[in-house]
Amino acid sequence: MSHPMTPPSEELSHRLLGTVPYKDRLPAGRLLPPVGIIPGDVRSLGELHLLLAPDDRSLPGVNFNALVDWVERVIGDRDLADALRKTTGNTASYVDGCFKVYELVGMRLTQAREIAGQEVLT
Amino acid sequence: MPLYGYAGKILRLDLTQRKAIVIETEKYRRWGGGHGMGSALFWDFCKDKTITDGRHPANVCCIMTSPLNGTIVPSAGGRCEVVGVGVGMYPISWFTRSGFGGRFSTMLKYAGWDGIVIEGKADKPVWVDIRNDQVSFRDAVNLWGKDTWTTQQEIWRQIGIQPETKHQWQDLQELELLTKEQRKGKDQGRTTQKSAILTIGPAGENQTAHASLIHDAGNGAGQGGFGAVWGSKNLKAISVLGTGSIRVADPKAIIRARMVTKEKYVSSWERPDLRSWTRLGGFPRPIIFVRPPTNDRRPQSCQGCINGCRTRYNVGYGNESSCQETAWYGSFARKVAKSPAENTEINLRSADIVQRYGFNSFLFQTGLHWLEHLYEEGLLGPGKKIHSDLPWKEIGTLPFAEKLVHALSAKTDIGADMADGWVQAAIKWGREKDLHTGAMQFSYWGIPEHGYDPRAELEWGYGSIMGDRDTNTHCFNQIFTTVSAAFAFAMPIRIEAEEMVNLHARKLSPYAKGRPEVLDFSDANMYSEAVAQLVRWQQHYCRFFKQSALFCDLKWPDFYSTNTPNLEGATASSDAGEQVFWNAVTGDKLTFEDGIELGRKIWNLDNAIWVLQGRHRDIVHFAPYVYETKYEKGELFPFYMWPCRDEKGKWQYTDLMGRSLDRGKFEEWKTIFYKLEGWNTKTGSPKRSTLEKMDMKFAADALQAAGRLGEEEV
Amino acid sequence: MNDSQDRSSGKITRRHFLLGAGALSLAAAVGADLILPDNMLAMPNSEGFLLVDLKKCQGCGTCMMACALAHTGVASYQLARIQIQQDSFANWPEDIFMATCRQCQDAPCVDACPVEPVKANRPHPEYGNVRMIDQKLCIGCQACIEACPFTPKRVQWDHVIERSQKCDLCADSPYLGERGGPGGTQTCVKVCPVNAIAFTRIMPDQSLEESYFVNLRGPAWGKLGMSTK
Repeated sequence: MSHPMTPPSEELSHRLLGTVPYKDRLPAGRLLPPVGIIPGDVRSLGELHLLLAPDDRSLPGVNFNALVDWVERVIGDRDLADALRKTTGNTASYVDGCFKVYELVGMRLTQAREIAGQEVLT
Repeated sequence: MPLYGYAGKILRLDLTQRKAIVIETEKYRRWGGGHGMGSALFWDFCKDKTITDGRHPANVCCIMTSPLNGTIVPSAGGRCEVVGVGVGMYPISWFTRSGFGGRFSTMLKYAGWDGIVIEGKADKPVWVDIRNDQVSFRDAVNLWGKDTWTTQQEIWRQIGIQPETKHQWQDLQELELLTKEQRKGKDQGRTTQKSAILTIGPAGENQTAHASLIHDAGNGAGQGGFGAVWGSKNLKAISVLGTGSIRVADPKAIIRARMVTKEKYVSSWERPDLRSWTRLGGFPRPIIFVRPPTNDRRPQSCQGCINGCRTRYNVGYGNESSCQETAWYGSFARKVAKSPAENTEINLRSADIVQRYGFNSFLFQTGLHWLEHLYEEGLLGPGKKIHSDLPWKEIGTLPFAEKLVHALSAKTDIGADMADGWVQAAIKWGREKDLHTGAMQFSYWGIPEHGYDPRAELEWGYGSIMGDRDTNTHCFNQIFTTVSAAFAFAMPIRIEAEEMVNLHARKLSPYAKGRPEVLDFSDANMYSEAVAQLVRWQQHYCRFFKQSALFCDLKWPDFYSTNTPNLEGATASSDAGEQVFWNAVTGDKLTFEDGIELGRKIWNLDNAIWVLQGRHRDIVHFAPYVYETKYEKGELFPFYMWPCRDEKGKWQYTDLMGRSLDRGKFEEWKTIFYKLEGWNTKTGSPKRSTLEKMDMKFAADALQAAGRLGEEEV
Repeated sequence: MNDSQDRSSGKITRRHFLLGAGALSLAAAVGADLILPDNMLAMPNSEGFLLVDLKKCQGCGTCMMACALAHTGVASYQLARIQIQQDSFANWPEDIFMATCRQCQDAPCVDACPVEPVKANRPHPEYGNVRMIDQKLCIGCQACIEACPFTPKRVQWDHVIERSQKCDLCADSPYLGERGGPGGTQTCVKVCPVNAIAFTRIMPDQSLEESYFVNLRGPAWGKLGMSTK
C-alpha cells in the first residue's frame, strides 16, 4: 500500500508519539470468543497500532468514523485523518479496513519515530 | 442395583471436629450429580439457609463430581462443580455456583468419592489429604501465605510425589505422611500421577470478595468468592490421589458414542475445516486474548476433552491460562507495550499473577476501567477522596498489576474497602451514580457485565438476573460471535438466519421445540413469552446437563455444525447426544427432555434457597445503567449481529446495538417468566403446587415455615 | 535394532538364523520357549508397535480412560495400559510424558515370567506376537514388572485382583466393539482427539528409547499456529 503522507513536523511527531488526556480517549474494544466484547480505550496511536495487530482469535473493535475524527481533532494530524478517511471509505470488509488502518498507522508511527529520533520498531 | 458411574460415597468434612464422615451417594442419586447433588446436600447440611455472606460459619461448600467424570464422555470427563453461599455479590450474596476443569474431579472419583461437603471451621489452617479412603487433616500453617502454585508443589513434596514429569510408579503405601497402620494396611495401589489439588491463595486466606479456588496452574473456580469461603473456614487446600476405578453401565456404548463424536461431529485433521461453525467439533485452540508468545506449545485440556482450550508453552509463563484471565489487563498493557510480543508477555504474566494469588480476574473486566476512570477524574489516588497509594500512573505495567492484585488480595489500600464487594465499595465511596451512568458496568448482582451486553444479548442478561450470578453459560452466543466475525470479514454466511434459528429450535425441547421465535431478540420480541421460554430452557438445560452432568460449557450444547451433512450438531442426537452418554454411563433411560426436567427441579431447589435468603422480585433488577443508557452503537465493536424477524416476519441477521432495556416492560417480562416457572408473580417465590409436583414437598414446607412460600394464584 | 540393520552389518545373527529356520514361530505356536545359548529367550517380533508424539499430546487422558474401559469395562488411570504423566508447572515439551509399551523385541517382561509350561506373559501367535499377559495364568509374582527397564514401568499391577497386565495392542479388548490387535484397532490411537498416537508394523530401533517418539504434527497443526518441528 502506498499512501503518500508528507513526513510530519517535529512538533506533530511528538504528538503522534504521545498520549492524549483521559477525557480525549477513543473507546475501542476487542471481540474475543467466548469472553465476548472486552471494553477498552485508546489514548495513543501506538496503542491503536497494538490494538489492530492481527491475530487469528480475536477482532479489534474500532469505529472508523470516530477514529478519523479523533485523529483529526485530538491528535491534530490532518494528513493521517485524510488518508484514513479515504482508506476506510473503500474497503472490502470491516477487517479489511482494520488491516489498512493498521498499515497506515504503522507507517505514520515510523515516520514520526524517524523525525523524533526514536528507535524505529520492526 | 449397582450405582454405575458413581463412586458410591460422598465425603463430608467437619472441619471443626476434623472429622471425615461418609455419606451414601444413593440418597442423592435423584439429583444426578454436580450442582443438583450439591444443592441437595447444601439443603440438608446448611443449618441456616438465610445467611447472605459466604464467610458465615454456617455456610456449607460442596465440591461435586458427576457420573461422567473420569470417563471418556467428550468434554465431560474433567469438570467439577462448586456450590455454596458466595461472597462479594450485591445486594445479597446468593447461594451460587462455580465450575472448574482439569483433573481434580477425575481423581476424586478414582479415589472413591462423588463429592466433598465442607462444613464448620478448623481452629487453625489445615489442608485435607485424600488418598483413596484415607482422609487426613494436615497442618497448613506453613502453607498459609503461599501462592497457589507454590502450595501445590509443596504439598506434592510433603506427600512424596516425585517431582519430575516422567517418573516411576509410586506405591501409595510408600508415600510420606502415613501412619504405621496405613503403611501396613490394605493395598492402596500404585499411581504414575501427581495428586490433584484444589487450593486457595492469599486472596482466599484474607477472605476477600471474589477470591477463587485454583487447581493445577490454570483451572479456577472464579465466580462466587469460594476462595473466601475456604479462607473463612481455615481450609487451605484439598489434595486427592485415587487409584480406583469407576464402573459404567455400557462401556461399549460409551466407546462407540465417543468414536462417533470424533468421526462425525468433529472437524477432520486430514481435511481440516479451520473455520467450521461448531462448538463441539472444532480444533484445540487456546482461548487467549493475545497472540501466542511462541509456536513452541501444545494444547492442554481437562480430562476427556475433545479439543483443549488451554496451552502450555516453552516460554515459562502463561501456562494453562485461558479466556478472561489472559484478557483482564489487555487494554492497559497496550498503553505501555512497545510491541505485540511485549503485549503478549504482559498479558500472560498478568494471568499468572491472578492464578497465583487466587483472585478472580473477572472483576477487572469492567471494574478496572471503572477504577481508572475514578483515578483520571481525580477522585482516587494519593490524598484523594478515595485514598490510594498504588502507582496509578504505572497502570499497564507488570509491577502495577501485581501491586493491584496484591492490594485486593491482602485487603490493603483500596482492597480494604473492596473486600466485601465492588459495588459495596462504590456505595461506600459515594459513587452510586456510576451505576447509573454506566461508568461502572456491573450489570447484575454486583458483578461485571460479561462481554455480552444485557441490552443486546437478552438470554444472557435475563438468565443472569433471574438466577444468582453472571450466568456464564455460552449456549447461544456463538451465534453472535460467529456471525459477527463473518460480517467483519465479509465472508460467506454459512448458515443463514432462518436456518440458524430452526436448527436451534429443533433441539429446544420441550418448551421451545419448533419455536424459532424464542431466538428473536428484536425490539418487538424482546419482552415476550417466547424469550422467557428460551431463558427457562437455557437455565434448566444448564442446571442439569452442564452444571450437574458436567458437560463443558464451552462445547455444549452443540446445536449446529458445518461438519455434518445436515448441519445438525450433537446435542440431543441419537448417536452422540448428551442423553446417550448419560445413559451409557449410568444405565438410566433418560431422554433429553428428562434431563431438562431434572434441571428444572434443581433450578427450583436453588430458587427455594434464594427465597430463604431473602429473594423477592422487587430486588431482581439490573443495574440502573442498563435501563438508563443505550448500548452505544459501534463504540466498542462495529455491530452485534443476531437473528431477528422484521415486520414481515422475515429472518435476517440484525445489529442489536443502540438500545436500552425498558424497566416497566422488563417488569412485565418477569411476570411472564414467573408464571411459566410456576412461581408466585408478586414475589417470585415458588408455590407449593409447583414444588410438590416435583416431589419437593420438603422445600415447600421449609418456605412455609419461613413465611416465604409463594401463594397459589389462579 | 531391526532386521535391515542386522543385514547391513553383514552378520548373520542367531535371530536371523532362527527366523529363517522358522524356529521362532514354531516355538511360539506351541507356547514353548526357545532358549539361546546365552540363556536369552528368543521370541518372534511383535507385528505392531505404538508410536507417540510427546510434543502433541494435550494431556486429556482420554487414551488412558478409554484403554481401561475397552479392556476391563471400568474407567481408571491405574488400569490403563498407556500412562500419560504431566506436570502443570513445567514448560513444553517437558510437561508431558507418554508411556506406552514398546513391544520389545527381546522383551524382558516375557523373559522374566516364571510360569510354566506356558508363560503367562508371552508373544501371542494368534495376535501378531503381541506381548500379552494371560491373567488366568499369571501368578502375581510381579517379576515382569520388575524386569521392565523403562520409566515408568510399562507393565501395570492390578492391586485388586493381584495380577499384572500390559498393553496388548487391544488384542483382548472385549468392550472396544471392534477387532483389536496388530491387525485391528487400537483404542488409544483411534480415540486420541489430536492423533498423538500412531500404530506401525515397523519395529523401531530397539537401542534407542527415542525411536518410539515421532512427529505426528501435520499441516493442520501448523495452520493452528503450533510448531511442527
